[in-house]
Amino acid sequence: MTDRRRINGPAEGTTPPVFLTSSTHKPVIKRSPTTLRKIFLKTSLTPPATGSAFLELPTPSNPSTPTLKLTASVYGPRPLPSSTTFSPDARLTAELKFSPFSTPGHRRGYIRDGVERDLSAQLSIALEKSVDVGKYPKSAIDVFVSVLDCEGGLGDAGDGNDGGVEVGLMGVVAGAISCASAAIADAGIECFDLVAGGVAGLIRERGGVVEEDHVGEGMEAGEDISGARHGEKKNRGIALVLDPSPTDGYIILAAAAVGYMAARDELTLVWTKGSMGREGDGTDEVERLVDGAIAAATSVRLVINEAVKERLLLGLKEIGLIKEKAGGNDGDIVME
Amino acid sequence: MAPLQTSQQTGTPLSPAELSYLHTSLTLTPPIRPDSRTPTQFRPLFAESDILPSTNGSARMIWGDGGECIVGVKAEVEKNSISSGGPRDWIETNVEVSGQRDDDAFLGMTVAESLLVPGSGVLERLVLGERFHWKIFVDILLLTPPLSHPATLLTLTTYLALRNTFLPKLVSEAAEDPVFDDDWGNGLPLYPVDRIPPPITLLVVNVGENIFFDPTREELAVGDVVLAVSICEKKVVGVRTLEGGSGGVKREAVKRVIKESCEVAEEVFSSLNGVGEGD
Repeated sequence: MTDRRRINGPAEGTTPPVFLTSSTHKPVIKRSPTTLRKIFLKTSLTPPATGSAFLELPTPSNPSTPTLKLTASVYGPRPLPSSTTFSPDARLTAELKFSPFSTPGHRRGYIRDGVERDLSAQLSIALEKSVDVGKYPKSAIDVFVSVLDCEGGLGDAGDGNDGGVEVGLMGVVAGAISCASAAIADAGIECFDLVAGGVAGLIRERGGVVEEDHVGEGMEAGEDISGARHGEKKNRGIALVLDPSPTDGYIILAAAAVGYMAARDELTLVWTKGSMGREGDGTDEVERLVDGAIAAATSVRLVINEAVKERLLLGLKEIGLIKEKAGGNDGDIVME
Repeated sequence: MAPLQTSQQTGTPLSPAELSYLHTSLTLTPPIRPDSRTPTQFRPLFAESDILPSTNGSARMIWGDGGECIVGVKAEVEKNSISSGGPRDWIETNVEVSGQRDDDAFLGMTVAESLLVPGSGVLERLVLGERFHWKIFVDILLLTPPLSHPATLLTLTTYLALRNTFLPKLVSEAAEDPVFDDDWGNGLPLYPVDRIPPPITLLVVNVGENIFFDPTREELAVGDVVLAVSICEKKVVGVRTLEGGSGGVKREAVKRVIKESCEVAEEVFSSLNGVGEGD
């Protein structure tokens, strides 16, 4: 007798489908440690905002690997709400938000968590020092950065990092600084300088993959792989890597993110993680790391310059001040 | 950010002229601080450890200005399968600032980041056999928000509490369910004397050519850059920039601040380790 009131499954049972996980493939490092990724940066993409910018890092060879994408929009200078007290300077607030779908693996909530509040605070520190807030009394400048996609490495559960420092958040902060600075320039707000974000990390070499395309950074290849922990044998097997990505597969001992104003040669933000030795003989790991991050930020600055210039030229062309430029410039510039 | 220092404009009751006067006196060589301290001198503080009997380790510190911080460290046995995040979740820090609804993101992140720095060796000591581990809860209570940024007070108290944290001795085998020695006297320190100590974070402000430790709120307001430098046994384990100051700062200044922090930290460590030995 068969049960005709219900729709039953097959009597012999089925096997659940098994999907291949994207994380099974080994990451292959194509970039040399001192090469930065190309950056796509375009301004004025959010019409209602006073100024806006979109930043994207190139999609890696494997399309399922996430990459960093974020937008920044700037509102203001606009009057402070009447409830607030008098302020002789502009008040700059920055808010960084991860989209719920931005993180690989698990979903992020809508409510701001501790990480987002922390990053927002750092972003606002980095930007506030570059904006000429004295020019805009009694006004507010609001910066909103929304992360659409990021590469992981945020220190969340299940990120599976074998004992290194997470650089995902630093990459997000550096990208947010660069993008927001371009957006502030796009909004026409007076600045002392544009801020560019840069990240650098110190890595311990492992395996043979990294050695091949390494540009000898004062290290002996191959010999020290078994891992003298940082300390006894410093500088051996420890190399500097610029713009590290969580998907690169490095074990990062220490990392630094900076906000850097290249034209003034000044820092607005310093954030380091991981332990760095300090020796008197000129091999200070902190200094090396900060200098590396500054070098990365200097290169990023060229991209911001180009993005801001592109928008400016477009504006001038619209009002007929300059003629159509000959030759296709697609906005790509080559970083060294 | 900081409880009282919500914004630079509203942070201090000082007028622009007063701030300018303060800035000038701090840029002098030798600098003159409003409370006539030397640049590396800390404000006097009262510290005691082991004050909460129901915790595994605790400490309390009071600044002269009324700022008070109490830290309690508790440990629980947990199955490895419960915390999905791996060893990263084994230490949980929680900062509670009285009178504030949200906990302070900056303070909590600074403590958690410097505690969980790779290679500190503390996570290895939390392993209990094959299936269990200790879960450490570090609860930080800032009772009366001090008139200055609480970062220094907070990490010094946390250091003291962690230094005085003892865990019951494990007597069972690795494969068994954990069974502990019921004599507290046999407890093992979370941070043994000969191992890497817990980190401390120093708040440093740079004004012109001068560097000041343990700055007051007024000094923070006129600083060029305010850095929180976390140090753990002669190694820098974290640097963060705080709100305050206008314009950027040269990289040489940042490096000098970090370098000097390491030197001062050694003195701080030795005086912190002397707490409790006197009585």
